[in-house]
Amino acid sequence: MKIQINVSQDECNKLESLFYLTESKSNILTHILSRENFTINEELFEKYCDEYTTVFMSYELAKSQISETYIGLLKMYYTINWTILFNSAIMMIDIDAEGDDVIKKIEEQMGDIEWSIIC
Amino acid sequence: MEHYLLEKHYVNKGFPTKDLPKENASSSFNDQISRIFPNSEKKAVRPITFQVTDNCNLCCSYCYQINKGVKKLPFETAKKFIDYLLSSTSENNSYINPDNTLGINIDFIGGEPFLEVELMDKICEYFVDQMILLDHPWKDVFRISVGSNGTLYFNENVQNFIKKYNNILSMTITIDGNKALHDACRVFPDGSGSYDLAVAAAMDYRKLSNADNIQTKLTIAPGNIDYFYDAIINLIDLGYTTIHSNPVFEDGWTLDHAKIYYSQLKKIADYIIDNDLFSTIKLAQVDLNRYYPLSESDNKNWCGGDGSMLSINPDGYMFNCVRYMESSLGDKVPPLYIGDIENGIGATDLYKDNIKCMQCINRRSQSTDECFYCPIAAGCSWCSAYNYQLFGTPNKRATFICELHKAESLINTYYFNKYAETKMKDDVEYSQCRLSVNCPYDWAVKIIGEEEYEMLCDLARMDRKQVYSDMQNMNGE
Repeated sequence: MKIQINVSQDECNKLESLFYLTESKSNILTHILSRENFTINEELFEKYCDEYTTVFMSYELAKSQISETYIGLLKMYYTINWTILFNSAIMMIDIDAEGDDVIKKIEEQMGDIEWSIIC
Repeated sequence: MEHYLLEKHYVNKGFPTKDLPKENASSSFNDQISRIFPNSEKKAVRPITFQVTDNCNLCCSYCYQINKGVKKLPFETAKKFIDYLLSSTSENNSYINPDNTLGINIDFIGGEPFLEVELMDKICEYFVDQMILLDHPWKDVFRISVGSNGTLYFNENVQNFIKKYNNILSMTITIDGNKALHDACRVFPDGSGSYDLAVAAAMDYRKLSNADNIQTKLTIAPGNIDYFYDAIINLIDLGYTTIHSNPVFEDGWTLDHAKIYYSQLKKIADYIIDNDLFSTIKLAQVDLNRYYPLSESDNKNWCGGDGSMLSINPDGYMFNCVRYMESSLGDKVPPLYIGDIENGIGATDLYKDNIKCMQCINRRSQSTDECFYCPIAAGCSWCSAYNYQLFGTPNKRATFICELHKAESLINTYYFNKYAETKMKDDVEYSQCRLSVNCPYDWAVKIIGEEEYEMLCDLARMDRKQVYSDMQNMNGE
């Protein structure tokens, strides 16, 4: 069963920002390591490595916080895949089960949060 | 005042957006950066365009570059340009610097840019190397983009370039709808068409970039408007979901073209609704944010050709946009230089005057009252460089597309109201929502006739007595 919910715009912006920065910092390291004869001073290289580690950890933390908030309960019972459409702050949740029991669990999880079935 | 009367009765409110196509997060780098830095007063992402060559391997019949040659941008010139940009500050280059610009898009254009793919690779390597070595703010906020005709896509060096930069590359391959249409205009010097190569390239790039959605831009001209429906349906069949298309800004449009355009668009609208594609396909012509009156305070220039962009040609001259270059303008008006690689941007009185001329453009300064207070002004477009080419100043607006914009506004109400009428009739919340017909009666009937206009009003559930009364009041004033 696939459902969708609206998540808070602030949470969504924070996650998108960290996702973007993780990719961006990773691209810098990839570029440095892929270039032959490219010399960069050690201090600057270490700075880029530290920046990547910091944003990567923050991104993973933000992901797990969102996951806990919106699907923490469901994850205890089902296998869940989820994505967020950043520009509309919509979370798409794919649950590997169907039926009335699943709907009850979704209602329990979501509380006051509006949700709808996609398919 | 005419515009207040129209605003009072016809501004659209409350039409649901829940069923509209949801754009992918990666659909626009500029949008993404604007979301990530919501409170920044800087411009989000500005294109830095390298015209690596003014040569092209196609001879498209409608190409705006009317004065192409065989020049190639020397790498040393490109390097100087990059060094200049990366040493720019608000003190030494107020046009573009990290204090007024969050990020950049390293953009390549031609002619056909992939004719010089080795040069493109060298430029990208040098640009990124320097940003990293300088710990420049733009190293975290940049992308690479290429506009190509797709014919050289499968060459080994081009493939290497695409794979090397794939995760930061955005490529647009132009496909003009269907094979007949594309091959009628986009031809090699021997007259043979380029459709099969372009489609093969676009389909392969979609797989390679792992994109749900690739984009193309279709150019509508008087010579191909009869085939517009076939062209759009073919693009939908190829898997395109976001389809940009617009009528060319140039002279040559007539009222008859607007009539054909409306009927072609109506067939497309019916196809999308009847085939349940409303939530999937995004067409430029149908948009809830277009075709209503704009307030006097909304004074932005629609086109970026007002000093927002930066490009360099093979001779090392800098421009706002590639369309201000000699290769686009021909010899009727001089190129609108804003700088050169030896002296920088705005270094001479001529450059300063040209920048000032572009930056003073706004919607009011270039519009007649008819345009400024137009009841369907939102979404009407223009090209400042074409205006310069035509009038000798970018601060005067060509309006050749006016009748086609009116046709688009009429189809917009048809599209959303037909969807509401047929697909949302059981939806308690939205079944009563309708878009009003903002195009005035006497404009509309010239294009679609009385009967079709009445059908649109019925579909919009508009009080026709009120509409006619408004019309009389307007004409009286």
